[in-house]
Amino acid sequence: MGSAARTDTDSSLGTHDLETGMRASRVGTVVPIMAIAVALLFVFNSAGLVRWTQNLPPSTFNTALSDAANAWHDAMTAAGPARLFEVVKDAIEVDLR
Amino acid sequence: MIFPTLNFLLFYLVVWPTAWGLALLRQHLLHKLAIIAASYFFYAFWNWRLAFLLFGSVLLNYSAGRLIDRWRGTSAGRWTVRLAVAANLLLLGFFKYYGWFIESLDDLLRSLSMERELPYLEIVLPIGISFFTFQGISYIVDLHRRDLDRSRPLVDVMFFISFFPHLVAGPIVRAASFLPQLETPPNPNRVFVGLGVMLVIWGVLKKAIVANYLAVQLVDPVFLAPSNYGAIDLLFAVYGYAIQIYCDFSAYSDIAIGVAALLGYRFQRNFNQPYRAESLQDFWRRWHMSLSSWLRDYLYIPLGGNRYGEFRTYRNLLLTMVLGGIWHGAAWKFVLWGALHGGVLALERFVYKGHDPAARIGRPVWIRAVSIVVIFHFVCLCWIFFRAEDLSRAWELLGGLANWSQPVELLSLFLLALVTFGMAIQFTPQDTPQRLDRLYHRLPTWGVGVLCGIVLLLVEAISGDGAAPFIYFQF
Repeated sequence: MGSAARTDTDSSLGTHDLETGMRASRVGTVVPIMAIAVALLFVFNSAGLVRWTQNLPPSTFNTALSDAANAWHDAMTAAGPARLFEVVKDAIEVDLR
Repeated sequence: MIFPTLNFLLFYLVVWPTAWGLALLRQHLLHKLAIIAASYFFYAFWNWRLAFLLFGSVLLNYSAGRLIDRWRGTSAGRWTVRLAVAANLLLLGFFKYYGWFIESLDDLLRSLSMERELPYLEIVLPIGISFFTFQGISYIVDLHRRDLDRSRPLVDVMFFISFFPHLVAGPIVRAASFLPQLETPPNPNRVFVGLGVMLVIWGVLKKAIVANYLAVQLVDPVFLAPSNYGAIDLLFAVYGYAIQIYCDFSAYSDIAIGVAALLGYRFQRNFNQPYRAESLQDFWRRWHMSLSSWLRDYLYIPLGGNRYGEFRTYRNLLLTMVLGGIWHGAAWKFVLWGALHGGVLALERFVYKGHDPAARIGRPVWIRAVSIVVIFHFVCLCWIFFRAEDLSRAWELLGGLANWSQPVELLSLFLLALVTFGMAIQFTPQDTPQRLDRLYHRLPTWGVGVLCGIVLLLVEAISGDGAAPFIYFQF
């Protein structure tokens, strides 16, 4: 193994702590980060929610969920963010081809 | 359930507050049970029947641990260790290698004109079995070696083996380093939020953009039919695969480490800029570190390591790497991949008399640069066998590298940029995560949230719909 040239008792291999030199925080700081990031995803990428509900197995609950996702997507399209995201997405797709 | 998907996001949005809520209420046992339940749900999402196999593995190792404790220092204790390790390997061997063994035996008997009816079975390969089996062995051996002071309750062993971030594709977590973390609830005032958020975002970016585009637009078509392409496409498909597998696998590890960090648990690093390695030994200190250290501590050293002379050391290196190759899958191409790595590790050891050339201080820059190029190309050569459907297609690809007359068909500026990016991130300063962590602490929390949201939206816009499974799911 990679450690062969070192001594067999060398234990540094694979035991690096990533946290070295980093500062810890309170767990509460995760809440606004997650909330804002998820909200942005759901507002701008509401089409993604619709696609997700379309792939769910058919059931009464999932149909209601799908209807709610569609209504949300319609609202976001009317308000603008969903349209803006689609424009950015299309522009990127064209560029990458 | 794949990490960068809406399914996983929604799953995590339920698990994270539940786990922390119970920890803050000082309901430590319920906290652990909630994470175990979530882990089994995560695993059963693929195939619920296989969740029973996972539980069987937990029970086996838990029971063996209790017996090792009870019979410590006696021959019964030592036999329990042997039997438990053998049972783990038998479980892995049956599900992963039975079909390969029977096929190889069939081929051999045919070649000797001794055809027989062999017991072929339709066996589903349980996802993550290589990882959770190795963790089970780690529990048994750490306990036997007293790296772990005593056996743990069933809940802790279940948590350790089934914890969803590492369950299906690692990192391979050591019992001795992880189980002590379960003694007390995670500390809500000491969560590495900057590290966790950074790793998750970085992992999503590497997987959804770099790995996926390289796979779909370059690597997959070329490795499917190498003879259809000229040398430049073939060469860049090989480079592309080197970057793809790094960005795919290290992305999974990063997300796993990040997701666990946000839950208050610590895993060890799994990758450290492997393509800047100046020797093959150096490469294995940087690539899939949790596997290479596992193989070293639980296979290479028990085989004798470097303690019984040169010849035994070379044999041990070769054997360890061949077995490491087979760990990846039941195919001769993985045997060859492991043998190539083991052979060159032994050769390096012979040439440099046991010293790692990468560790020498004051080497001229040009020697270091040449070493990096040589090692990278050797690793790429090995990746050809690793990625090819079979050995014949690997040889086909190698032969095609001499065909410089065919025009370039697949390589585009965008793909070239991805390969360049994948190489450039191997040479960023070693303290980049610490710098980013300092930046995180300077930004307001809402700013971090907005930044994360924008990056995730951009990734979604660039990566398109759907996410391909991670490469290491098949192992």
